[in-house]
Amino acid sequence: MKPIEQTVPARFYRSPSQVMCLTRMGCSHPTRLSFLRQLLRRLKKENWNFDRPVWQINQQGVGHAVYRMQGPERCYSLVAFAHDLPAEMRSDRVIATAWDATFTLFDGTPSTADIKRLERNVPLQEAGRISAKELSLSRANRSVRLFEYVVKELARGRQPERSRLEQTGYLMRTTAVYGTGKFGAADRGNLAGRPEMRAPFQAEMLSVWLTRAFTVDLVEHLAAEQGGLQAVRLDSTLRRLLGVGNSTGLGMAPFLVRHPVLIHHWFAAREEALARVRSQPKLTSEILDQFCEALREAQENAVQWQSEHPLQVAKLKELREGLRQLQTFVHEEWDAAQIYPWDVLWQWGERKLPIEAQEAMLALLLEPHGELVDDLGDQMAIDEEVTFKVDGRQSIGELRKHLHSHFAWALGTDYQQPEQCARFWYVSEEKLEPRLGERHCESGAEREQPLDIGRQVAELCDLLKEWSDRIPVAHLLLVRPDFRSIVRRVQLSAHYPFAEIQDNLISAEMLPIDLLRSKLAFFGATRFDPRSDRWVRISLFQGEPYPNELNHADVS
Amino acid sequence: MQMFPENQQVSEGFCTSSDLWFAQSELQQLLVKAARGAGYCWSDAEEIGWAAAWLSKFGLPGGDFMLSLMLLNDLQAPRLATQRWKGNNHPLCPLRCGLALMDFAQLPEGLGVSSLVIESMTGLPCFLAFTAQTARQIQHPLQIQWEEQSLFINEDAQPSVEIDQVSMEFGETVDVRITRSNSDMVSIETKNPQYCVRVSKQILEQLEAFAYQTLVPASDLSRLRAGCHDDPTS
Repeated sequence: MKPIEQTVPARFYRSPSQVMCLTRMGCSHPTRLSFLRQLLRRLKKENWNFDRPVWQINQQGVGHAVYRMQGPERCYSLVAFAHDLPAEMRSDRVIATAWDATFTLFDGTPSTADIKRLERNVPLQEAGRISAKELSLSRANRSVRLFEYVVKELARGRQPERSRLEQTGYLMRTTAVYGTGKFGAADRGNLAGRPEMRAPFQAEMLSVWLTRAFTVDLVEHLAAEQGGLQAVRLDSTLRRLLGVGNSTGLGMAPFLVRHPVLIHHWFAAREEALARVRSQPKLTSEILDQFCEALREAQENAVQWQSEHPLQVAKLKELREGLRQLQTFVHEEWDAAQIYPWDVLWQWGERKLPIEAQEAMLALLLEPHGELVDDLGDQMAIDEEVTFKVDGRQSIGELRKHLHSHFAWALGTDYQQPEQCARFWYVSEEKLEPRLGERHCESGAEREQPLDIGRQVAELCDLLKEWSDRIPVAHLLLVRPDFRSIVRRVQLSAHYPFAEIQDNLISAEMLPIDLLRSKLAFFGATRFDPRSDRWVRISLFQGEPYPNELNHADVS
Repeated sequence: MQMFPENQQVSEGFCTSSDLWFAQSELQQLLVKAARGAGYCWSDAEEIGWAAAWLSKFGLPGGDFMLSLMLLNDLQAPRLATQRWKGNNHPLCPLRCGLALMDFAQLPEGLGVSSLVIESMTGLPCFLAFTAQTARQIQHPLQIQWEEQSLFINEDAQPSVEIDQVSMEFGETVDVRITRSNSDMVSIETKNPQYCVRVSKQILEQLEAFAYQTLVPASDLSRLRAGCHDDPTS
């Protein structure tokens, strides 16, 4: 698998050391290359059709429904189970055992027998078992205040207040969306050769998008049950304000470390897109108008985006102020007629704007350039298996050179200092979820997960001091097989420069939410709202069309 | 362990009382954890997981074989010499031999221009996976011979269809010859990959028992730090 090639002069690219630090990753914004945007563009382009062949939900909102998308060659169905969940059992934590609704994405159209089988397993989530016919497993809880409020208003024949919808942004939030290869679900290998599943996380995104439609259908159904003829449906403009919430903890953080080559492709594609835009010698008035419209929408979004977490409050302040400065500069100082106008704008932003606003500007620059950058979406997925290898012929000298060239960020740290090894990643026995322990006051470090890449690199560097440059790496690994993984990563770094998060992931200062935000932005998440340093709520598909609107909607 | 039907269709009774269906990637992850729990370093555990997935992908009970490896702890690393690797009057470990084959394949101690014989190796099925990885790494088909049997693996790490017929006992100790194949691999029919595997509850229990050793018991502090106290009314 060839790494993404750089197609424009080097001066238009950002360096991996600039891009891959946690401070910047923690300011990531969704772009038009985000996975949910890629999904919607494909479905629209290929004229996928939506229907809801099954709706068996009773007066109390309990039952099941099927939401189906039919494409040119295949169809996929979300099978949704709605439950009667006592309020005291409602929890977003992984330790929960019951939810307001549970879902699976089925490969094709489920038969009655399939639905019966799924009914016995899907509501149990991790305790159940699905099959190769299913592509995802997920669950969601109601946003109690908003869900009940919207039902009551619609039942009374009134529309809910726009401000309240904007404030929460979703009727339900998913608390876990498990994808291919989990709990018996189809392996990703099963989906090879399906263009609609080529980009990362497409099954999961499709599942969440159909879940969004289910949440609105459910409130309208309950309103009709409660209000009878008086009840009204949710206004289509208000519907658009709603996404699907998601509540995410440390579970998704290790993914970014365990899939270095895949992560390289995500970041390299995004950076290639930015470089292509920066290298455009001119712009058209049409593109400029689209950019200004995107900037206006971003400012609106920044105003609606609420959080009470001190870290995010500060970032939101920077974002709003930064976007205001950007708007002023664009309208009053920027000469859009000069050569390389986008590069001039970008360089101004790098000098003047806080990181939060710089990353927002990146998304804005890509927005009007679909024709120029959208092809990069195809390069964000790879077959990781072919890169799972070590070059035993490589000399120790060559390995040492890569180590110093690409891991300087890791070598300047003294990992013996308590604050530099303060944390350890582990998997909890209680719920099999990744957690972050405090090494100096909690037990369990002997079962640490190998996510301490910086420290491992430093240990390799120390080990290599005893080895001569001319000796092949194979000899090193024969006597020290425990260094195999980190040697592989160092060798990969020569071809995949965006493969590593260039920060110490076990330091006392590390903020796990930076990892979460970076990954979630690639999904297409908005409205990041941290609930702690390791727990964040977000919204997906907010503002996007619903399945039944796709054929008439403007999707780009 | 049995493979899932090729058409991937699932019957109503897909989950019997004694078996579970696993995706290949799920099995791989379980094997990584189990191997680590069994005492292998993380690097070896990753390779064991990968090897189990490869074997399962081509119809062999990868989980069973790798569990057998975990239960044996007296196998040796090979002493490397040109064209012939030996042990010290003790059976050789398929993991150590396999990784050495991959790393030394293009060095004088490895395959060289002709062939390599590995003497007295136990766990041949585990070794097969690493031979496949080697073929892909050097981009050259390989032939593996032991006793009266033979198997080809092409440069895309796909085995010839004989993989269904050859007899491989994990516990058997055999001499293995690996040769850079001159055969025209295009004419050799390779086995199609499959991505679902059925794991018996007995094997699963043993793997999970090992995997359990990687988990950290919860404490009040760890629960508290796992996330915020969520407010479901928001």
